[in-house]
Amino acid sequence: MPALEIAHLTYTYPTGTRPSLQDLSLRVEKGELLAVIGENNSGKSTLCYAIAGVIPHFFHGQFNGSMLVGKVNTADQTISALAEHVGLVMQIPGNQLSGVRFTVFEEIAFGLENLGMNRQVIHARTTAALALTGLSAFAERSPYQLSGGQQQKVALAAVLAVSPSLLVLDEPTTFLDPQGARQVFDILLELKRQGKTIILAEQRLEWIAEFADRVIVLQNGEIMLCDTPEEVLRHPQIKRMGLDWLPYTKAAAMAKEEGLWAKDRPLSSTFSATVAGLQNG
Amino acid sequence: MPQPEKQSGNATLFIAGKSWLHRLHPFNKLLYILLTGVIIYAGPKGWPVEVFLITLNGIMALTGGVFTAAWRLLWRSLLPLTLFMITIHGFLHADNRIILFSFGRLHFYQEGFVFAINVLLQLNAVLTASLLFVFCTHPADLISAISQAGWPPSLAYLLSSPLLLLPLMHTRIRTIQAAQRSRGLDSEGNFFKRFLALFPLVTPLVLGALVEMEQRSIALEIRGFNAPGPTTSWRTIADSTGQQAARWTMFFLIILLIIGRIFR
Amino acid sequence: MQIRLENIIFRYSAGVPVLNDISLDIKKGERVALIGHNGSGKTTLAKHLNGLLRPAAGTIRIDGRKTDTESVARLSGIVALLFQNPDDMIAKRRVWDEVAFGPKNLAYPEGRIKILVAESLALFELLPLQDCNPYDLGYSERKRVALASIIAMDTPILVLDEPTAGMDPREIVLLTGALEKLREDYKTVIIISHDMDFIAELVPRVICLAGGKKRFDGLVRQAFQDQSLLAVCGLLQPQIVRLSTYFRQTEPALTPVEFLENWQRRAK
Repeated sequence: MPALEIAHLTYTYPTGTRPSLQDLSLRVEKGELLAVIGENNSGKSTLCYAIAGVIPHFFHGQFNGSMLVGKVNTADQTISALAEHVGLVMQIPGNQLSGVRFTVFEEIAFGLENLGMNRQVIHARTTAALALTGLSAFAERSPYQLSGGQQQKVALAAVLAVSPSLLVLDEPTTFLDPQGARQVFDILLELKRQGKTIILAEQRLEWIAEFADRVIVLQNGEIMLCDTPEEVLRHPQIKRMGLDWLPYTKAAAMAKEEGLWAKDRPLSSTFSATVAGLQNG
Repeated sequence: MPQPEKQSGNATLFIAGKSWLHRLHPFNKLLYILLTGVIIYAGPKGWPVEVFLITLNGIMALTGGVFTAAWRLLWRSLLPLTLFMITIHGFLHADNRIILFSFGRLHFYQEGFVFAINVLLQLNAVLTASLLFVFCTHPADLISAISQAGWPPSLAYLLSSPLLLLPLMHTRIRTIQAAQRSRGLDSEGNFFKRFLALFPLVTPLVLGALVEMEQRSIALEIRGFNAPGPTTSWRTIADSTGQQAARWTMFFLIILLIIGRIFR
Repeated sequence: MQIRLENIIFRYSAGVPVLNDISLDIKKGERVALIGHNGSGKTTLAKHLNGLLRPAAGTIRIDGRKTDTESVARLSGIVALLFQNPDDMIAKRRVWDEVAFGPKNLAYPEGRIKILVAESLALFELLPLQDCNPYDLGYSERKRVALASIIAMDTPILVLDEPTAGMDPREIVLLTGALEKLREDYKTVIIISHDMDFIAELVPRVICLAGGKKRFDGLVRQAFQDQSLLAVCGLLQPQIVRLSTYFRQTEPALTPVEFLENWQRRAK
């Protein structure tokens, strides 16, 4: 059974004049890391909201098609009831703090309390989430006093603590420095190893190339491409979708033009593939 | 990263500590404020009662380690009021008869003076009782106590979110002001200039707050705030039969005093 | 306009210094990047340049003149600062008015305001949106509005805090174009960014901060070669530098073109 199955989803916001998602169908297997990329306003955040049930339960609008998380049809459940199955990290970190908890520890424990976990479980999971995100030293601080980057980690830790089988992350590293971002991707990789399914909307394509199992490119709410990161990121049409080749791919393309890259070898989008291509040119 | 301007964490006066006052159940402290108020309003009259209550609160503040803080706050808030009340009533109270002393044709009377002192003592008694609560109760504990008592979480939310979000709002105002000064808006200088500079603040503040509110309510939903099943609470509030008995005693005392007052 | 910082120290009330003895010189027309880990003091330093924050010790001079007694409003005609979060800046209900807000405050003549606003809007492809309410736009569009409104102020010095955060590649191309125009106009531009690939391609000189101290000030090429410096500053090598380092190119490349040139030079 797939972890997520979307069939012919078309959605228009109540104030929208055209659909933000158009006839979108997608099947994500358990344990898969699927990256969602595309220019701004292409529907990435809308898709994230739809998977977590925020659409159609919070934003109503025109919703057609179906969205299955495991066996659960999101249209039949409240957002809060879905919380156990789907975790969502939203784009702007400060806005997703609960506003009811005074310390980082309690903020991360908040979701577990809502799900009625007992004290031992709350303690164990919150402590583990703090450690994994490197926030242990901040446990007793007010989450409102943290920087944007740290708040982004709190939001991630809060989802990790609940440990839903499906995680949806909407650009979770925007405010982090390069090493902080790398840390987040390492955490995601670890979660994947534990069998979690991850949907990741992201602008930092360098990481997508390295870590994603599959990538979809959205434009005007439609899936334009759906393939492995290698295929998508070297796709000749990607510029028309508001994206761009990575410097690795550009270097490979130039090398090919100069005859330094084997003719039958596809262009690369990761460090190792570029190195291999150049060495065997 | 974003706005690490000087921030205050929350809008509370809480002073961290481990004293018995800190450990006392929040409801007990709340009921004590109420009881003090009712004693002042409906209990035996006269300064000995008020002085007794103030002394009692003073001793509690001392053992709770918040005496200095309470003293500082009281002094600052009550001194101007004291001067004002004594002057006004000493000179102008309606029942004034006995002259204590005079400045030329201005007479200072005993009745007004006694009245002012009495009101100030009453105020002081209630204020000190409230300070014991405010200084020794972490807002989170009050909120947990409310949820533990089985009251709806939305009530807890209503109480706690202003404490956390108002300072956030304050920080935002300062950030927006900074951004606008950076764009040449002259908000330094005379009152008029500063007043005019307030207008461009309103749009980003209100619209920003609306966006934020929408996002926060989504966040609450996706974190299961309205999940159907039973919830638990990490922060637990110590309670005991003794404390419960004290609560009921205070509660009945309050009722008795009010009934006594009505039928007197 | 030359910027000179001498031994700047700054702390928030009685804490450890957020900026610890920072000195630097930036020449007129230079493009400099300020990089470092989260909380390294980049934004705090930026806010010193236009007087929003005042140093506890040390002096800031612009063109030789000390700025510590100048008001922020006065300095805003010299230094324009892009805030990280566009929502902190946007004050008007119409994009055009928003972009004109700064120039109007600076009391530029009507005609000049119109030209500046139109040019800045064009740089970020905002002309079709000029009558929209900024709050009806998406986050990155608002970011473009904020950028345009800073550039419209036509100041000799611009400080851009995280201009690329949240932008897609097409928008980054617009930003690159805007930076080119600023260079032609001989403006001094200081960019704070976490986007290493962006910096590698566009900025020749970097200043690295870590824990409030200046750890490096020099050529971007050199900074990206120094692994221990990058580790201290929470940074990682940009893609092309990584390739170039791996292949032990003597002069590390910053762009794909440079990389290929190095490669071919060695082949010969």
